[in-house]
Amino acid sequence: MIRLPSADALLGRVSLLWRGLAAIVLLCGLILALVESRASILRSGTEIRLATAPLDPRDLFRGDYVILSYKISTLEPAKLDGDKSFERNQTVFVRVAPGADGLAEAKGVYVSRPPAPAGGVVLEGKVVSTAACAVNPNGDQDCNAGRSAIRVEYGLESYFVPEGTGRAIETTERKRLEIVAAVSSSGQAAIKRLLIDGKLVHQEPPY
Amino acid sequence: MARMLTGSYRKRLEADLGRWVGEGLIAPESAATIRRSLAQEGGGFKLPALIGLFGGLLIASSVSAFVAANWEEIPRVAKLVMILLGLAGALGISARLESRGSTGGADAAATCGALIFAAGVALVGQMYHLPTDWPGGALLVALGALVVAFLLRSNGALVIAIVAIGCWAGGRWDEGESKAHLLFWLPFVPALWLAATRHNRLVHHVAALALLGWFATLPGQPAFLRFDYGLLAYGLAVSALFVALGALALDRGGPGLLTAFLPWGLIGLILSLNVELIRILEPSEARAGTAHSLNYFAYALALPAVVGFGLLARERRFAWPLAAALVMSLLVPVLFWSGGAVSMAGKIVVAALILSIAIGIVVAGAGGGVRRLSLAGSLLFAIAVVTLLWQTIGTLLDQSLFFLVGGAALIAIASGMRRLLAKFSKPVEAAP
Repeated sequence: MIRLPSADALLGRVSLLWRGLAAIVLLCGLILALVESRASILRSGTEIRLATAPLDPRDLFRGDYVILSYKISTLEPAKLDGDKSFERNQTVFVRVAPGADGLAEAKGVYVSRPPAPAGGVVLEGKVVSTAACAVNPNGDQDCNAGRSAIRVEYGLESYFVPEGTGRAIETTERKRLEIVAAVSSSGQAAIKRLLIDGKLVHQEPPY
Repeated sequence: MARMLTGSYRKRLEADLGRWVGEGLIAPESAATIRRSLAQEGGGFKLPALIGLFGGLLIASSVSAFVAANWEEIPRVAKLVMILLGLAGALGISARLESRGSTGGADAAATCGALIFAAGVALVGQMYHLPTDWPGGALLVALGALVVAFLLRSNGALVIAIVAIGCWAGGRWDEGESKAHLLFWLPFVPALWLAATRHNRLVHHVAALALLGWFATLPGQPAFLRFDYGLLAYGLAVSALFVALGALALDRGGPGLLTAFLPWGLIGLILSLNVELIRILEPSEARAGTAHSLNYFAYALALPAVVGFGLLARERRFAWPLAAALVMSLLVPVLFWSGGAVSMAGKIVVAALILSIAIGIVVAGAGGGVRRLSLAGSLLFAIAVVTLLWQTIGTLLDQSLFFLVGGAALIAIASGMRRLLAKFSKPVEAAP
């Protein structure tokens, strides 16, 4: 019958010491690479302030993390620059710039990366829904205004908290909650600070 | 063939050895030599290794729970260092145990290391509030576990890797809706290669199940949501493919990985054939399913596999009845597609086909000395008869006639079988 070359036989020539060391270096390296990819965003990314938005209650708090949603999570392509039609799971680029209150507002949404604007940043996101309810100026969902909006996730939607302390954030009114995110030049975003009523509650060091 | 049979074979051999020594067929010393050779062959986890593995699993679970608690008293960096030290420690101990010749202990430590790596990935996700993209995390865990399985020759880590690949592919399939997840093969091929060259049955079965899972997700979610009987035909063809590959490997004495395809294929075959039988007798369900391109794909894989099995197998008494049963199984959906299944004649043909398939599997099991085959065939036969009594073909009188003809045919075959078996005079146990 078919005899496959055995991986274990191929490795037989490499000494056990080297194999053990290689395994340790590779696995620890993978974890450290993951750490560094996020830490570099926190260290050198451009800061933006994000207003959180209410979400349906079931998404508020799951186990040991809080689910966050932002005003820029719901976009109406018809009212923004850029492309107008999107598909679910599509990668999109959202150009944001600070509004009058200093909080980031979406200016345009694109299928391919737009040039970096002056005074604004471009966030990379993924379309999770293409028939979402629109959002009124207060940031509340308003399904009467049609279902032409798209929902976008930026990788900023989970906030892990120590066991049993999620309630405090959960019970805080969403409008008092503000997130400062760091955005790398490639559009990757990471949560840097959590504020309530403008006061610093959680600060995320790079390490 | 005997080399491939594991647990049940050992039990049977143990009983036979005692009998043979008692009857003076072999010397007690020879029996002891056979037992020793069998014990050295391994195959499963040995007891100290198993207990060690459980210990390793508990330690890894403790690390996971510690990470999940997100205890703020310890700085994140310290937690990260602890994870890295735990990882290095577990892998280091594994290498040390292997150098001392304790392969079981080394496997347990390496498995623990792979699980600590998984906890480390979760910790980093928590530290940086990474989105809850669990399929992405599962892929990372799979890659780490594959590295451990490869470099430290760990079977436990290989099982973790295959399960994690399955979770990742399943999660991505769930997101991707109708698209086939072809990227699955990228990490699965190296995992399959490792599994094929290992002699651990758990690894073989997990790999077979992961592959079966991929076939199951191939039609895409919408196909399952608007259920169509074409799916049943697809499942039947994939099951036949698995049975043919597993049976061929069993007959040719390897590879061991492929022999693990047989039981899962048999389960799929029995399930889908019984559903076909139940629905043909139900007027509202006896409609033809759509033949999707996937059906042709599955048939294009299954038919050559079945024919190849029939031609290549060494033990014809085992292979031919089984190949015939598999060909008849593949005919069942064709009958539905032809539109004949709604007529009385169609119902009789399908019912007769399914009973014949059951008999074919039993004959193959007896011919090859594979008890699980005989068991599967008997089970299919029993369920089919009960189904036919419960939902009759036509009236009860028609049903009675059907059983009478079937019974008479079987008795005729049984009386003819002694002459048939005498033609193949080679004894079963002497098969290569």
